[in-house]
Formats: sequence, structure tokens, C-alpha cells
Amino acid sequence: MTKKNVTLTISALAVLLAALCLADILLVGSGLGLRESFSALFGKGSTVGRDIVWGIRAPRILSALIAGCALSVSGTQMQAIFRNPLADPHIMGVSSGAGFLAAVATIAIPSGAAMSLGLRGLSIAGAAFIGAILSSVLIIAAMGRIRSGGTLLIFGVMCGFIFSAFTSVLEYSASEQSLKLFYSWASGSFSGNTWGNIILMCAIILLGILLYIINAKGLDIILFGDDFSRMGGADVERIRRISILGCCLSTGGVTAFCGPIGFVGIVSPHIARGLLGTSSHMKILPAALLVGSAICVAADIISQCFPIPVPPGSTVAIIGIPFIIYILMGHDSFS
Amino acid sequence: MILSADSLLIGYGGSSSPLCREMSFTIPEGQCILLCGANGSGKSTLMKTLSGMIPPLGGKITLHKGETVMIPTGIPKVKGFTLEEFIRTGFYSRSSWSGRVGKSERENILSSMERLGISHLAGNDISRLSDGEFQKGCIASALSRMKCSGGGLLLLDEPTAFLDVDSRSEVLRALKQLCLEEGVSVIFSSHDIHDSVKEADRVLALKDGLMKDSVSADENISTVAWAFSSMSHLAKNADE
Repeated sequence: MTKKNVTLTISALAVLLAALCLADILLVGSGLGLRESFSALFGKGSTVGRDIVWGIRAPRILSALIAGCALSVSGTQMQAIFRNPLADPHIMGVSSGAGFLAAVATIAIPSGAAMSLGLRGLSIAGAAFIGAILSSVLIIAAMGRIRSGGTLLIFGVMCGFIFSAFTSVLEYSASEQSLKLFYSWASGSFSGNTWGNIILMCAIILLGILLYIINAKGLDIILFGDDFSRMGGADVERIRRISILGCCLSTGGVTAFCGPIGFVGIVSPHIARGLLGTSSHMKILPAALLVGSAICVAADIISQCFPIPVPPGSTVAIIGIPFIIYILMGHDSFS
Repeated sequence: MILSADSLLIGYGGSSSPLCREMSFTIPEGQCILLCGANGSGKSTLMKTLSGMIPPLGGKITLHKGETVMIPTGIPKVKGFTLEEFIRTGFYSRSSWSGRVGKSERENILSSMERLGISHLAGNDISRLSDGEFQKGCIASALSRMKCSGGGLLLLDEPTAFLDVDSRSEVLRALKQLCLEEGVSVIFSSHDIHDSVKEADRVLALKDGLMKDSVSADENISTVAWAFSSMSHLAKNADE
């Protein structure tokens, strides 16, 4: 693909994403007409209107954007280091690890404790983040013993199952109030984040993207095998560790504040590679970020269109799974 | 001389005993060497040791000139890289953080592709290359790196596996040409003994932890026959 076509494709993706964001902020959600939303967007109109647009919709859309970026960056890296087109943080059990510790936190905080709802939410987010790190540490530890990317993927899936099983055990013994709090996190949602949460999430994910950029040429060479990489002078273990750390930060950040959201990580790198006709990690980064964000914002729009808002975590799965089946049928863009 | 090995002991560390012991040999410039032996005799281990990928269990390897580059077997043809981009990824330690290579490196990449007759494929996606073309691409990748450090020793693990008859002889001829015209030396392992022994200047054979060195082309066939009992009739024919 020529340089001009690459610029065109990326511009088209950016326009699509901008259109989706605009549609989301102006049209989606009840209680506010198009005209009211429009004037509220520019700081005019009623206080209620401005509160809805800037206090509810804008943080929600920003959360979706950031989540999309983080998940696509993690998925792209995981597919490279495991050399498997189906690897992503959700499948590798990182989200389940985060879910397990989030459940532990929900149970551990007694329902009668004098704690504001915001603080309670933040402690669940913190626990989820630690859970993501914990499961990534498990994968890194396994990497020392398991050499095959396929086996490692199965290891990740099994870890995910164990974490989910532990989570179910905890749910069984939880109080009604704790369960409600846990489920509102576990179903995956972009709503309810404060601006403070968003800034924190943004900072974590920028760090994740920075690690990706530093590691990009290592991710390229590792696709050709460990021996080939070593001959080129690359430290394969170091590339894998940096990459897992980056995935852990990005996924942990998103999972903490938005809950477990799967499939964006698998799907967006494939779309980015397919659109640009290249697998070079530096080249596909902008496209992968835009595609990931667009999927999350689209999922947010769809989930708000139902009579009662449904969790976008489920909408993403509904959009993503047919695509994964398509990849499995042999149309994958990797080998 | 490019490389010399003195009382070399190879194998993977830990409790396992060494695969081969007491190997001493020298590799002069411009020699095309066939490394043969049954599966598990230590061919890949010897190559990995010579290339510095794994340390020797004992003895000493001295590199006198250039660098040693090994092309491992079964490099995947990942979709989404042009042949030139693929060759550039191999320059990991010489490229900038964003993967850019300098002018002299780029010139060496282009001249190596030309040497192997694959310049016209530089912009093609490697997943669409034939296995023979891709193998030549891998050789060009190694050659371009060796040119940057002034020659050396090229090690190839099964370069002709999975190739059809025509590509097989093309790759072997290309290797032979590199030795004659670029002054590099080549050690390659192969199971296609009949084809490869014809192109080899020398044979190194591994059997039961021992190494036999043909030293010159005259002894090539008897050395192969030493490593494989089913090949002994070849040696008899050669004697007659």
C-alpha cells in the first residue's frame, strides 16, 4: 500500500470515529433532544442539559475511547508474543484475574461499612488492577517453562477458568448488596466514571502505548521465531516481558474502571492489518487504536439504543464473536 | 581463517551428558561444508553453539573474522511483511528504535538480494513467495548482516527441507556461489545427502558423540558413509 493510501485509510478511520463520537454525544440516551444536546455541547442551554452532556455522556464516550485504545494495543502485542491470532487479554485470563480480585474486594468491604459509593468503587477498581497484574505474573512465570505459544495460550485460558470458578464460589456466599455492586462492574460498562478516574485511566494507558512503541521492532522480529530473533541480536525474553507489562497496565487500567471487556483486543488488530495490508507493528498502531476505539464507541451506541441500557461488554461480544469465528474459519490475517 | 574450534564439547547444560566431545577443527574462507548425521546426533546443537546462541560445555571457539549468522529451520512466512522489510527486521541490533537502518546497511541489503537474484521480489509480501524464494530471502538476510561486519560464517539448519527438487538445487548452488564469490564460508545440515554432498567442499559428520572431518572433497563420500551405515555402498563404489 502506498503512503498516500495509508494516510487516506487512517483519515477515513478517524472521520468514522469522530462521527460515531458525535452521534453518541448528541443522539444517544434518553431525556434530551438533538437541539438541546447540541447547545449543551457548547456550554449553552439548561443546566440539566449541560449536566447530561458533560457529566454523563462525555465521560462515558471518553471511557469507551480509552478502553478501545488500551484493548487494541494489548491484543496486538499478545498476538505477536504468543504468535497466535486469537490471543488477547480476555482469552489469556487477565480479565478473569481482575474479576476475581474485584469480587474479593466487594466481599471484603462489609456492606455496613461507612464508605462512600465512590470510594467503594475505587477500591474495587484497585483490586481489579492488582488482579490483572497477578494473572500477568502467572503468565510470565509460565513463559519460563512453556516454550510453545499454543500451549501458553491454553495455559492462559485455563487460568481464566480457575479465576472464574473462584469468583463464582465467592458470589455464592456474597450478600445481595455486594453482589449488585460486583455485577455492575463485572458486566462491563463505560458509564459512571468520574473525570478523575478518566485522567488516571488515560495516564496508565499512555504508558502502555509508550511501552508498545519502544518495543515495536522487537514485536516485529519475534513473529519470525525465537531463534531468528536471537540471531538478529534481540533479547526475546526482554521483549516478552516489556510487552506483558504493557498489556498488564493497559488491560488492568481498563478492566479496573470499565469492567472486563473482551474481543476488542482480538478483533481490532486483524482489522487494522487487513486494512493497511501490513503487519509491521509501528505502521498498524494508529489504525489499531482507531479501530479499537470505534468498536467500543459503536458498542456503547448500540447498548444505549435498547429500551433499558444493556452492558456494552455484552454488545462488544455480540459484534466480536462472529468476527472471531470468521478468523477461525481460516481468513486470519496473520499466517 | 574464519573460525577455529578447539576441544569443543557441545550439548545442553544441566545434568544431561554432552552430545559430542573433543571436536577440533578450523573453517577457512570460502568453504562450503555439509554437516551430516542421524537425527539427534547434535547437528543443530553444534550450529547453535558455533553461532553463539548456546554456550559450549567445554573447549573454545575463536572467531577470526566477521561474524557467524545462523538461519534456523522453519522461519514462518508471516503475512504483512515485504521481503525487504523482513530482511530489515533481522537488523534488530543495528537499527534505530523505530527499526530504520543506516545507508550502508541498506546498500548491503540491496546488494545481497541482487547476489541471490531476488531483487525483483523486494516489494512482494513474503507470504506469497515460494518456499525456495523465501529461503533465498533468508540467506540474503544473513548475507547482508555478514557484509556489514566483513564476512564470516553462515550456518544453515536444513536449508533445503520442504523444497521441491528444482528449488533445492537452486538454493545449494546459491550457497556454493556465495563461498566462491563473497569469501564467506557456509556450514549447512541436510538430509538430502545425495544432492548436497555434490556441492560440498568438505563434510563434517557426527555419530555417537564423535566427529569425522573429510578435510578435502576426496574423502566426502567415505565420511558420509561413516555416519550412515546404509550409505556404505557409496563408499565402496567411490573406492572402485
